[in-house]
Amino acid sequence: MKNSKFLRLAPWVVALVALLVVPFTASGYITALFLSLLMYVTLAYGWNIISGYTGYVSFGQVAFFGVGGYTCAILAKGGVHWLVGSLVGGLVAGLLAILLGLVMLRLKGAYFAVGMLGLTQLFVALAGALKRVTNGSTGIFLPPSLTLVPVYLTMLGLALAAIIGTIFLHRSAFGLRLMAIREDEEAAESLGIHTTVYKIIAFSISAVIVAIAGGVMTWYVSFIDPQSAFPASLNLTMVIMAVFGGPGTVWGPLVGATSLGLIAELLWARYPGLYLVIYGIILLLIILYIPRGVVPSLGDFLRRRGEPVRKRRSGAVA
Amino acid sequence: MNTPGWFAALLQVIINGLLVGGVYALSAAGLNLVFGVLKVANIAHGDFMMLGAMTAYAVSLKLGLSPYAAMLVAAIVLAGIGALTQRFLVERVIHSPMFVSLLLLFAVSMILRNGALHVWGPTYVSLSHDSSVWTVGPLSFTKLRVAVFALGLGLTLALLWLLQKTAFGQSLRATAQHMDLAEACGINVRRVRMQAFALGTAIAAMSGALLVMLFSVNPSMGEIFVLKCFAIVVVGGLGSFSGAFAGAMIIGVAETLTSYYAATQLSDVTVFLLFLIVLVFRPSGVLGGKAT
Repeated sequence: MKNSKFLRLAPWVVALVALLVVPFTASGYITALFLSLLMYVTLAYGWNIISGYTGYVSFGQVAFFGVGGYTCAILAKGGVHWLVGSLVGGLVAGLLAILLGLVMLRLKGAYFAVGMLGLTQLFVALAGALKRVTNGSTGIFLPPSLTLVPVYLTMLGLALAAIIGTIFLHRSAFGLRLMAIREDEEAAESLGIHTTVYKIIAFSISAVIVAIAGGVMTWYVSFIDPQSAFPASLNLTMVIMAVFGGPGTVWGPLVGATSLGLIAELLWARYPGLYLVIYGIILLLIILYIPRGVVPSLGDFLRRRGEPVRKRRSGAVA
Repeated sequence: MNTPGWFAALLQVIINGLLVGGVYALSAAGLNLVFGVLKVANIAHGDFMMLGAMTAYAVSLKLGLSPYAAMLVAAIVLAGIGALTQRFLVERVIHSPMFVSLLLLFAVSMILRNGALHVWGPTYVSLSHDSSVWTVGPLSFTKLRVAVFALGLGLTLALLWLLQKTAFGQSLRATAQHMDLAEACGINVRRVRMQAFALGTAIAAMSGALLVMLFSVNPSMGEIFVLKCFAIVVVGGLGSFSGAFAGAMIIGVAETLTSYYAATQLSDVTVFLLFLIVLVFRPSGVLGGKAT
């Protein structure tokens, strides 16, 4: 029993060790590539909590990416360590999400989706207008970070935290309640689940994860302005990656973010103008053919193949 | 006439807002139509507007057509694109949960926006040349704005006539009210859905083509305009055409007031705040009855 558990964990340990070794052995380019992938993983898991598990499809979680980025940049400018700045950015975004959630989460379905799109626009406008805090459209320049390894390790830690958090979430009563809200909010409410509280907590956790990633990336690129703080491309990619892998699943965002992230890095270099179009087409195909995402569909497929023929036949009759 | 200066300025700003509102009313009517008949929130509506605007611009420039003729070409082209989008994409998820069609149209929006950015680049284009004005006392009316307002209004009324007075409109309304019953009555609801979506995108295209006569637009305009159209529909009460008309006027005026008295960049913020305030406090719209 113990042995099989060890065997099951072994590949993960190997993968983790490999990821830990990357920044010390691989070239700067490869490390930067892995950093991007880890960021995609983190963002996809962040989005998955509010949109995948709770069913509130957000087209604007990138708003919190910018909040984290700005908080980190402003604090770093004042001499605070970037890691502390990023964590404070997460805290600020988390608190902000609680306040915003009180309003935004009253919107349902398409209204929430459009509302989050609008919220991002609002943040871009505010970042441009609040010149004293954000330095307006000029942006904030930070000293060149030259700290790829610590940035990488921080992002690795964040991605791991998001994954492990999701594993626990998936099995917890909290996670079950989120899924109940997704399936039927009124029914969940009538069963005594205080849906508003759970939705806001999920929204806030999602915001914290996305915001810390935003802070770390801002320190890494040493610059932030209203355009780079709320990148439309990231907003799209986190949705697509989670949906591709399987929204509301534990491993979906990981599969989606790593596979599509690799494709993104390849396409980005070769077709800088077209890769978002290709992404859109991928999203279209997923929704039409495997709307539940790769992970659940692949799981079903393997399970069906693995079953003995007799059982499969009897299943077909039933 | 002895009008104080500030009052004349205020009146002028309000008039400008109302004049823009004509186009907004048209565009919002298209969004309303698609939502009513298909029960799908077309999050790509702003990008269909953009495609209409860019098509009108390109056609007008390449073929030397007048902006109004170019508008009709854009409407026909976009009706075709809309019909195909509905038949091969939206129709396939019509019975799925809301978030599926939402994500699908999100993907369509992404493809249209980034495809257009690839083809036309991020530069702003405009078809407006004429800036002659009529002057009435202290107020001035840009002729072009008046013409565009009249066209927007006329087309919105034409749509209402189509919906209320024709057999085609009756089949659309029947499908909007009850899809299954409409089908049981012998209406080909699949075809009606396609027609409604095509009409919706054609309307989006026409409003886009009208906008490009007034303002400079670029392939990213969809992300702002989808929000505006939703705000209008929400302010007016979902599914209500007269409400959407009032909503368009409110949004148009709110926007120009913000641009004039605060800052141009903040006009989108005002639109968003109106959207949010109405949704949270009066979900049935400012004119609507009790909340549903």
